[in-house]
Amino acid sequence: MKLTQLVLDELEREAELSRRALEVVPAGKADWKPHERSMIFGYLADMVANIPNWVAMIVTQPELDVAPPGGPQQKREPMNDSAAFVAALDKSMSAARSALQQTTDEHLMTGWRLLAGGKPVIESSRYIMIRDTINHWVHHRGQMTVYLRLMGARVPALYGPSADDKSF
Amino acid sequence: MTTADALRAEFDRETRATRRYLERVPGDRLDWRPHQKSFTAGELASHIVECVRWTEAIFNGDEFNVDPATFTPVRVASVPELLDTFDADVARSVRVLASVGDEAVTRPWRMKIRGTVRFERPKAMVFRDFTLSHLIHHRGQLSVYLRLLEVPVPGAYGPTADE
Repeated sequence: MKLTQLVLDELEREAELSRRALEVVPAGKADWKPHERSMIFGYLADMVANIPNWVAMIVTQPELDVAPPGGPQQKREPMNDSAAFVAALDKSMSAARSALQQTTDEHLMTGWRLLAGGKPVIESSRYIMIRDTINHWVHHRGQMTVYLRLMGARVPALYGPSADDKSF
Repeated sequence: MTTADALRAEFDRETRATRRYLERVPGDRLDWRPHQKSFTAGELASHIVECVRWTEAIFNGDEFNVDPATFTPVRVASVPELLDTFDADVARSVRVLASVGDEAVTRPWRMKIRGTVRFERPKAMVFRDFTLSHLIHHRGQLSVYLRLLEVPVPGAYGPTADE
């Protein structure tokens, strides 16, 4: 079975679930968090919208420094309503789709590095890095569904029915 | 590396990480829930075991029929029972996965609800979806529960406020 096709099919399926979660994001709640040590909601939703960009980077770039020695690259404008998050997801998925459609299984088995402050943190095959990225995406989307519940939003059915959506 | 090898490696990695979460579920708070519409902590942790259990249904047959009216969810009554059930399910899944080759992962698998085909996809896709992503989704939810229960949250894909 072709790994590129498996990854692409799965990415498409997960994007559909991420879209359902982002569509119910309440406006103006970016700073909300359930506990003082938790991430703010806006940061979590931003990751759910943008993680497919990481897949594109892993395919097309040799490495990524999450804390480049010269300081962070320019910050994105914070998003604050569901339309902005859904548009960001469409854009990041388009980048991931295009990168995967133009690559090969052989390329996915080559090495890739994640750096922090110029030092390698993880070195692994591109395929493993992409897998971890998808898992990371699912992890944060899972967290986001608890936030949505606590914020009083309607929680969509993802892998099975939710208390608000039994149609699964 | 074959697709089957990749799936095995990923199952090992994710179930190891998951056990660290389950070990930290406080035994005296299994009835706690963050919202009246949410699973209790015990229900959520039990459901995570159920995600692992899909492995056998996916690789030991070519279809699975669910009748929601008679489906009985896994429910554990204590943390030791949770960990024992999880460990037993992981061990059974590892045995099932050990004999899976690349031909098996591409075979179509059908999900039926009350006898009607809901979808048909290659087994590798179904395993990624029903077992791995499903497990990671609920483990992500459990990480918020642990935070709200004042339990230090283990890292899954990066540092947490505690680790």
